[in-house]
Order: sequence, then structure tokens, then C-alpha cells
Amino acid sequence: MTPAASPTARHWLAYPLGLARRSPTFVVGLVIVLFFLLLAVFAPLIAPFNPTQSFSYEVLQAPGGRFFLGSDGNGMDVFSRVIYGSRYAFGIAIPAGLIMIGIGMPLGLLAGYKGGWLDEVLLRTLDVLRAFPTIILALAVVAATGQSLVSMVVVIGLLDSPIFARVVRAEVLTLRSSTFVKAAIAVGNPAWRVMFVHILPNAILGATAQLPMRMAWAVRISATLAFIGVGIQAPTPEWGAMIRQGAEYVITGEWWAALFPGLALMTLVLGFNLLGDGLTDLLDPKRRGVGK
Amino acid sequence: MGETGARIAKFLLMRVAVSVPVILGIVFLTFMLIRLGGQDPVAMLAGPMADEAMLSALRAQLQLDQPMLLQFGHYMLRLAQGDLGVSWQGGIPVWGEILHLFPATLELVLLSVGLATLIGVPIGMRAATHPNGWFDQLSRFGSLAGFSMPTYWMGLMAILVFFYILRWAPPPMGRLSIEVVAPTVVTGSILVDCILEGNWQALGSALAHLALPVACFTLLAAAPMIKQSRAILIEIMNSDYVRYARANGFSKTTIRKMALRNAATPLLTFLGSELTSLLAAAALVEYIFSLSGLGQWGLNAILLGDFAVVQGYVLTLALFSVFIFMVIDLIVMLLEPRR
Amino acid sequence: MSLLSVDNLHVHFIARGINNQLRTAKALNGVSFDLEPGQVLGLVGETGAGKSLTALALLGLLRPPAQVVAGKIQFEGQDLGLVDNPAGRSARGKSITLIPQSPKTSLDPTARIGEQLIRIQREHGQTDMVKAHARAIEMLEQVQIPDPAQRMKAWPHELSGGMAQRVLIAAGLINSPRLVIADEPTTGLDLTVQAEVLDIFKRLVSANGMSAIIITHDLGIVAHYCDRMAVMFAGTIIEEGPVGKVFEEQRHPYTQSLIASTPKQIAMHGFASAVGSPPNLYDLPTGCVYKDRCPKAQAVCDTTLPTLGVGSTHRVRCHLPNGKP
Repeated sequence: MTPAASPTARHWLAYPLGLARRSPTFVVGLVIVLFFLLLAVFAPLIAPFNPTQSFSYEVLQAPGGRFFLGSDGNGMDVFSRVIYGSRYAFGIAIPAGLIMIGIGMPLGLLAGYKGGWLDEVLLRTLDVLRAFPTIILALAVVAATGQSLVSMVVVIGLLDSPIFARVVRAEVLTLRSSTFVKAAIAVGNPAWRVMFVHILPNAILGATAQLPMRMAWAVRISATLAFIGVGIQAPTPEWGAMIRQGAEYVITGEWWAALFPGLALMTLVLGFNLLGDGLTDLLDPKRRGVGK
Repeated sequence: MGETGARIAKFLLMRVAVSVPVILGIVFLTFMLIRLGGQDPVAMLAGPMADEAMLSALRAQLQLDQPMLLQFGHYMLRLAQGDLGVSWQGGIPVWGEILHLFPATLELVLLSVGLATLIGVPIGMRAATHPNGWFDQLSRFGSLAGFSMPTYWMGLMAILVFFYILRWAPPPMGRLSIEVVAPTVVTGSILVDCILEGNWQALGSALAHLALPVACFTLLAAAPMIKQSRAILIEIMNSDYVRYARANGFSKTTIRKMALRNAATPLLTFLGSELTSLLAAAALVEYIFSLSGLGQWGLNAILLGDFAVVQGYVLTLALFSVFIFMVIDLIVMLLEPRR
Repeated sequence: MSLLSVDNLHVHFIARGINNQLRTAKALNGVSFDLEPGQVLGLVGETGAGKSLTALALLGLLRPPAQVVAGKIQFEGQDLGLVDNPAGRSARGKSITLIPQSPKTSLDPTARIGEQLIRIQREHGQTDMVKAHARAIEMLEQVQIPDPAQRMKAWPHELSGGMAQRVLIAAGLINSPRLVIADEPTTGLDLTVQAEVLDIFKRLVSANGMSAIIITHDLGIVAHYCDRMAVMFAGTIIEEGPVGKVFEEQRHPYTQSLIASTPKQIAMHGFASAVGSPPNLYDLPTGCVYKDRCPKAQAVCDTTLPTLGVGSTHRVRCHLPNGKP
């Protein structure tokens, strides 16, 4: 550390390196998520084959050779399908996340700030959700409302909202009894102003760490649903559906059709989880201390 | 003792009173959801040969043409008499089948959760006592990996490695090898039945068949255990009373015991909620490994639109969840002086 | 030989700021004082001056991000070491005890009062449970808790703040320590209860010939219950001496402004000049730490200052200790 140098004189790399030192989980998670995001965006440029193009004479080819990761039971290239699969993963996670924020955030804010019947309703809903197996609920609803991408997104987003709302609500409750908010009220700020200017930014900060976790769950459950046979189906290159297809061949030893989509799925979900975990680390003021 | 008895009675009463609306809500929700769907179970039941007349007749017979609330009313009436309806795949009574299959699922879940607790809690505790050390980082990563892995995929990979490649595990079909004689069904739980009968050969086979699914499921269950016990313990270690104990020069062992005592309640509560959600997740594991359990049956029913079975399945899960929470809260109430 | 001798204690907090640069807060800067057997020392200062930190250092309870950078602590002639070590641990709870700040949260919620009082004795070698039990009841009597035998079975959450504090006093004295440190013993207590609790404390300490350090920001408590007082500011002791003398002479400008800020003084003389904002421990000035707030600061205050003795028992860290204005 140069004592006399001004802050702007630090090497440009110092900031990200410093971040990495403080929370390697965050950086690893970010790298993973960005990697898959790039795959999703540039899929047509990266994938060697059209993901739904079936080569009927080259069914279940082992990896190597013409098909980098092998071909599946329909003769489609596993590698290309895995790459395109990331489009579906983000295509579900991002809109679902937006729905979750769009509904959960105001819900949590209002419930935490106003309390009253809205709060009660939220808590009761959470109670029911707690006792109700969420997967079954998602299953039933998606099966009921039609097996399309949109219905999956909507259902997942809706299911996530109460959970996100609960986190936001908890943040709001803590903030509401904090001194600086009390001061803002005492000085005479109207309720809406306190909510938007004082509480909202801080609540968002606290709830931000939840966002990646929820997206991880969204990716996961959409794949699970596809695996069971609900929602997206073959030949769409969605990872869950791909695992479902590949499952039948595992027993006979053709492992690649099921392994690679699962690997991709696990890595992306892990990436989101690491991101969220790292964010919690970074945003938690108590963790700033240096040991030893 | 009488006073404690009175407290317990009061608690149970209140808990039952509160749970009833929740369960009713769940049953109602399930009922509506499954009927709102585009599935037409009548078509499935009648088969491809049926014509319109037969379909309408069937529909009327099953009361599917009546307004939904009315249908719900009928269902509740029958429920009150203990009639859970019949599965539309073969006419099996739902209640009987639940009794038959539920112990199998319970067997899987309890074994796995038990193992997961035995493994996960000590790991989480060790991580908490050396925060940010290498063990902590490793266990956190491991726990996150467990969170991220899709169970069914892990099951598939396990089958690949341990069955196909290594030939260690038996083929993932059912809970017993074909050549082994099954024990007489007493409880429905194969392990228990084998032990009761002294049928060691079947026991061995059953254990072998359960090994992989339990292993996968345990890993899934251990992840949240590790994370939560670590979080709980860290909070305890930073508490005022631990600091005071240190100020009094308590030995590390004493402080550890103190921490454990304080961790018992939050851990138990968490265990309760974990059991509930894992029971539902068990369905997937059963599906992969073809362990005929309640989850597999329920899952299939949802996909096929077998209404009565779905309702029975969800009802069972909900009842179980309420029961577990009640037991845990009761234990907590008796242990904790703070109630 | 003094009972306790603290010499040149420096404690820093090292943390990483949001841009990952190391930031050091100098929380204790050269704290030194001695304590004789049977003396009660009052440690005063505003919030953040380093009072509780000194106590934690004495007890060897400092953990990262706090780091002891220099200093020595000797108790009964033995070097206590500055971090957790076996010597410190055997002394803690037995020869040096702490009466912590928040009574209700400092007690183990899952153990009854009696069990906790017995546990403290057992941890320090008492094997006779009957004697331990009797001693616990005896201590509860001493702190004037009614119906002590019944109270032994009480849970911590059943106690009021005042009672919990008294239990903590009992716990702090149960092993007959030589030194008791009371950290803000009146936080959260009603005014009437405060006086009771402190009376009990002082009485027991005097009766058993113990030394004590009372950490507080309340000058009234110091005036009533302490023999000596040490005034802390920005991690340094800026004035130290017998209570009467310090109050009378007020050699350091900070002492003067502290005393002038008590409600009674304000009622009599009106508001003194604004006390100012707390010092930034991350960026302490060279020279006298108080110079930015001092009305009498001069050029010489920019250099380091020595400890001047105004008499052998009264010390001041000031270049211009000219007493009351």
C-alpha cells in the first residue's frame, strides 16, 4: 500500500482482485453465470449443429468423432443441444425473476411497512406453502394450465414471489425500527416518501442476495418439471427434457445423453448459488474484518 | 406432572384447531387445481373406443359434470366418512394403497434424513467453530454443490457408476431382487418386515436396493443440514452468553456443551421443515429407482389426472407435515424453558 | 507491588473497506495504569473511547479483527499474556471476573440460575456440589435477592433486569476474585434500581477487600463509588488520579468539558462550548489526540506529549495542564 498515492492511482486490476480475495465464491459464481449467459447469447455462433437436427443414422454415437459430446437417442448432437439449453435456462430464470421482483418486492414492502391484513394474508400464504410440497404444486399447475414455456415461467415466478416477499418484509421490518427511519418520520416525511427514499434502497440491498438463489431454484425446478414430463418437451433442447430422454439409455451404458445436460444444469445452478452466497458475504458488514 | 399434562393437552388442542383450516385450504386448493386443468380423465378411463354417449354417461357417474363446489362438497362428505375414493387406474381404493405404500416412502426418507443429520450437523458445527478456515470453505462449497445437484440426475449417474460400471449395486428396479422371497407384509416397510420375520436374505437384498437411493437422498438432505447448523452455531458462538462464559474462563468442552444445548431447539425446528419438504422430494428418487412408494404413485397420478389419488397423496403429505410440526413443537415446548 | 499493572497497551482493529483496502482503527493507544489491592478505579469516557475494550484486553478476550499490537499486562506479578492462553484462562472467572453489560442476554438461556452459579465454581475446581450449592445461595442472599433457595431454580428469562444484574454480581464474586471488572453495570436499569445495585456491589467489594474497575460514562457513579478515576479519550488515558482531586482540579481540558456537560452543571452554568464530534480512529492526528477539539490548543500540541505528573498520584497528558478556567 503506497501511503501517499491517491486512490485513483491504484492499478485498475486491484479492484476485481480485491473483490476476489474477499469473496472467491462471488467471483466464481459470477464467472459461471456469465459463461452460460455468453453461451446462451452466442449459441448460434458456437454450436456446431442445429440443435433439433436429427441424424437418424448416427443415433447414440459416443463422444468424440463427429459429435463432440456424442449424439442422443434421436441422433441429435448433444453438444449443440446443451449450448442451446442455456437459452431456455435463462429464458425461464430471468422472466421468472422479474415476475418475482415485480410482485414480491411491493408485496414485501407493503406487508412489512403497513402490516395489517396484507401482512396476515402473506404470512398465511407462506404457512400453506410451507406445508404444501411446492414441487407438487408446480407440477399440478403446469400440468393444468398447459405445457408451455410461458405457463412455466408464470408459475415459477408466482411461486417464488411469496418467498421473496418474505425476505423483503424481514428487511423492511428491521429497517422500520431503525433509528434513521424513526428520525425521518419524526422530521415529518410523509409515509410514501419514507418508504421509497429511506426504506426501499436499503431493503433492496438486503434482498439482493436472495435474487440469485431464487433464480437457481427457478432453473432447477423448470428442469425437474421437464424431466418428469411436464412443461417443455422433446425435441426442445431443454436440459431437463434432455436428461429425461437420456435416462433410458443409462442402464445400457450410453451415458452421454444424460450426463452432459445434467452437468450443465448443475454447474449453472451452482453458479447462481455461489453468486448468491458470495453476495451475502459481501453485503454483510460483519464480515469485513480480517482475521489473524 | 399434572400441570405438564395440562399444558400438553392445551397445546395439542390449539394446534389441531389451527391446522384444520390449513389442511382444508390445501385440500381445496388441490381439488380446484387438478380440475382446472385441461386433462380429461374420462377420456383416459373410457379408453379410445368410447363414444360421446359413453363419455357423458361416465362423466355423470363420476359427478364430473357438476359444478366444482358441489363436487368438493361431495368429496368432503365422503372424506368425513373416511372414504378417499378410488384410483381410476384399476379401481384400487386410495386409502388402502396409501397405507400400503407410505411406509416404504417413510423408510427411505427417515433413513436418509437420519444419516444426513448424523453427517451434516457435526460438519456444520466444525465449520462454525473454525469460521473461514479451509474446512469451512470446503464444507460450504460441498453444501452448495449438494443444493445444486438435481437429485434425479445424481441418481442416474449413481446408477451408471455403481450398477453399470462397477456392478456393485443391483439393477434399479424395485426394492427386492426377483429371486428373493418377499417378507409377509406387516408394516409395509420392507426393512421392518424383514427383521420381524427374520428373513435375512430379503433384508440383505432390500438393503442393497436401498443403498443407492438412500445415498443420493442423503447427500441431498445433508446440504441444508450443514448450512443451517453452521449458521445456527455461528450465531450462538457470537452471542452474549458465550462471550460471558469465555469471560468466566470456561473450558472449551463446557462451552461446546452449552452451545449444543442452545442449538437443540433451532436445529429441531429446522429438521421438522426439512422432513416435510424432503418427503415430497422423495417422489423423484422413487421414480428413478423404481421403488414403489407413495411418491412415485402420486407423481404418476398427477401426470395422468387420476384425481382421487392426487388428492389422497397431497392430503397425506399435508397431514404428515402438520403432524411432524406438531411433534417437534411439542418437544421444543417441553425442552425450552422459554414458553 | 500493584495488583494489576497495565503497560502501554496498543490495540488496533484491522478491517477491509469496501474497496478491499486495509483500514486500521487505532482503538487503544498506549493505555497504562496500575491498580492497588482494595482500590476501586472508575474508567470513564464517551462511547468509543476504549473503556470496554480495555476490559476485554485485560481478560484476554480480544478476537480478530482486534489485534494487540503492543503492551503488557501483569496481574499479581504474573504476565497475563494478551490473548487467550492457559494462564489467562485459569485467572478468568476465578481471580479476575467480569460483570458484563447486558445482564439478561449474558446468562445462558437453557440453564437455571442455580446451575449456572454452580457451574462457575465447578469450572474452577470446586468438586463438592453441596458446598457449591450452599455458596450459590449465600451469594444470592448477599446480593439481596429474595427467597434465594427458590430463585436457584429460576430461568434467566424470568428475571427482571435488576435481578439479572444482581445475579451477575453474585456470579462475579462467587469465586472470591481479587479483581472485579464491572462493565457499564447500570445499563438498562431504572434509576432507583441502579443505586441499589451499585450499593450492593460496592459493599461486597469493600467487605472482601477486592479491587474493582467500574467502566461507565456516568460521572456521578464515579464520584460516589470509586477511589480513583481514569478518563479515556480516543484510546488514551488523558487524566488519572484520586477521584476527589480530579474533580477538584480538572487538569485536562477534556475532563473539564466532560464535567461541564453533566446535567447539573448545565443547569447551573448553561451550555459549555460544544463538545464536538468523536475522533476518527482510522485517522488519528499526530501529537495530542484532543487538539482538534481543545480550546487551548497551541503549536506545541502537534508533537507527542509526555505524561506529566501533577503529584505522584495524579497524571495528565497535556502540555498545558493549567487546571480549572
